[in-house]
Amino acid sequence: MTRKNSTRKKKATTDIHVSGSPPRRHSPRDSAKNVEFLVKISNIFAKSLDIRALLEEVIDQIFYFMRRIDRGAILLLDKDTGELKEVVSKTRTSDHATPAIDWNRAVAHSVVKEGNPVVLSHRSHEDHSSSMNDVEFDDILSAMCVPLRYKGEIQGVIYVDSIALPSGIRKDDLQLLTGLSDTAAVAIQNARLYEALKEELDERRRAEEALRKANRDLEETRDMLVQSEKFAAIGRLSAAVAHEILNPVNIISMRVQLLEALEEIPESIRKPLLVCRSMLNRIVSITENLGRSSRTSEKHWAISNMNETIEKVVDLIAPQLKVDGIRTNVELHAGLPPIPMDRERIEQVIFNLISNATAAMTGRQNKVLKITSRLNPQGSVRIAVSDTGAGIDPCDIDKVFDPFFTTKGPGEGTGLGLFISYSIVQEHAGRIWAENNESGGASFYIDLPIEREPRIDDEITPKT
Amino acid sequence: MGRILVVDDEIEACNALEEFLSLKGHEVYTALDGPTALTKVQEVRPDIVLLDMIMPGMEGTEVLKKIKEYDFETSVVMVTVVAEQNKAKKTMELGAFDYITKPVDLNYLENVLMVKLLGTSD
Repeated sequence: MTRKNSTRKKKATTDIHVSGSPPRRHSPRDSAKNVEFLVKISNIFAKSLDIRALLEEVIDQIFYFMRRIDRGAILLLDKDTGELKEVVSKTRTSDHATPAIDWNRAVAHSVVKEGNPVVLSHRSHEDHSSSMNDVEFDDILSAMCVPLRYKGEIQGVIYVDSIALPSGIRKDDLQLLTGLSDTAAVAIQNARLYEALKEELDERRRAEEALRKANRDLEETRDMLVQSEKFAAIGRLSAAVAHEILNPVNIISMRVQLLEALEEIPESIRKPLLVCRSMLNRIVSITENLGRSSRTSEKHWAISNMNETIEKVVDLIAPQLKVDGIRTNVELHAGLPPIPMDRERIEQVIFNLISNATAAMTGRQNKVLKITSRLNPQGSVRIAVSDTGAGIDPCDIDKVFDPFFTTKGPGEGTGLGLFISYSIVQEHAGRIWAENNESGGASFYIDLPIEREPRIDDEITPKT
Repeated sequence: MGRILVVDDEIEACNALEEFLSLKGHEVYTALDGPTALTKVQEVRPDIVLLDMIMPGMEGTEVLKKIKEYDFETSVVMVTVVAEQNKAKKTMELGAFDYITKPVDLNYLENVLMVKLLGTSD
């Protein structure tokens, strides 16, 4: 390295040695070639904003236009550490960017430090006339290094050298490379800005996506809260209404029983009394279900096996399924962890879902009931009950869990099964929903959390 | 037959039960609220009290406790619309003999009463 700045500029130029013939003026053909080179490079720069691809292409073009050059590297200055880092390096013989060529560090650093191009020729290292006498030249016959300068600031260097081919580098090669370096510096700066911008955009996009997701989650949670509040209110109301209805029903029922107990009543009265009794039973079953749906009955929390719970219900209902001509397909995930639940109530939910599925397939040709269990990655257990029935009218899909919603005929269903199921799943801090299958029929899904703190209000019963 | 006190805030419920139980040969008294019921318990010393659980003023459970404090031997059968195991269990712990749910099945009621009356009057 030079020690004195004053000699530096001079040294740099004296370092330039054109081997063979003495320096000559460029022929018109050479100029045209140079222009073509620069235009080509400019085009690459204009097009490419991927910094690495851009720089590789620059080296390729250098190889194409400078026959004696067989290796090239572009080194960029790390602004934080002040170190030169090789971004790309290539040799003429390999198609791909080779990892790290042994570019002459002394030359590159001198260029960065002094800001002037440096050329090493074959002869210059023979006679040791250059300032590079402390540099190991090895078998590098000729090397050329130019600064990449943007707005006066050095960004890095382009380094090229020739190992395989003898003879030095021509003066116009240096001019060409210097000309190129100015455009390259701008392009590199652009690419860097673009990368920073892209990074910022990506970050913004990620932030927006995260925000959107948070928003969606929030909406979902709010919907669930509204829904669960609604159902809790309905539950409380139901219990109160059930009580208010059952008292007069009790009186009517006792009166009917007293009338029925009379010995001398005519047939024309006995029959209507029977009708009254059966209608009273209907009212009672509705109000009992309503009362059950409210959080008044006792709960038995225990860590239980979901698959066993499902199997128990399926076993119980299997004879009826057989009679109804329903093919049952039960696929249970073997590795389900036991979960906290009120087993009896979960059995009731599964029973309700299976009953509904069965009813939905009445009169259908193909009757397949599918029950599956699986482990969700988010730490919950999912149960699905699918049928091959008519499916749910899309208008009704949000209403199926509402109390008294039923598509069954009068007297066939109270419209409380799914409402009760919903309430029970809510008590388990779970989720229940319905979807129509693509292949026809409907599916009901339940997600129950694997871990759950028991509610403190489990034992508390509301006052009426 | 037995001496039975019917306690229900619904007068028609009292009437129907009174009619039925009288037909079955029991001696029937009625009360429409807890305090009246407690007075009647002291006055008529019933064998069995049919006690509604949910009443305005004094709740059935409270009346049950008071009856038991006064005379533990008086049998109490709770009558409730709340078909709840746990609430019913609690009344049993407090000394209720049995509980039946509304709407009352009169034949079942008669069976419960007979079990108690035959078990104690002998």
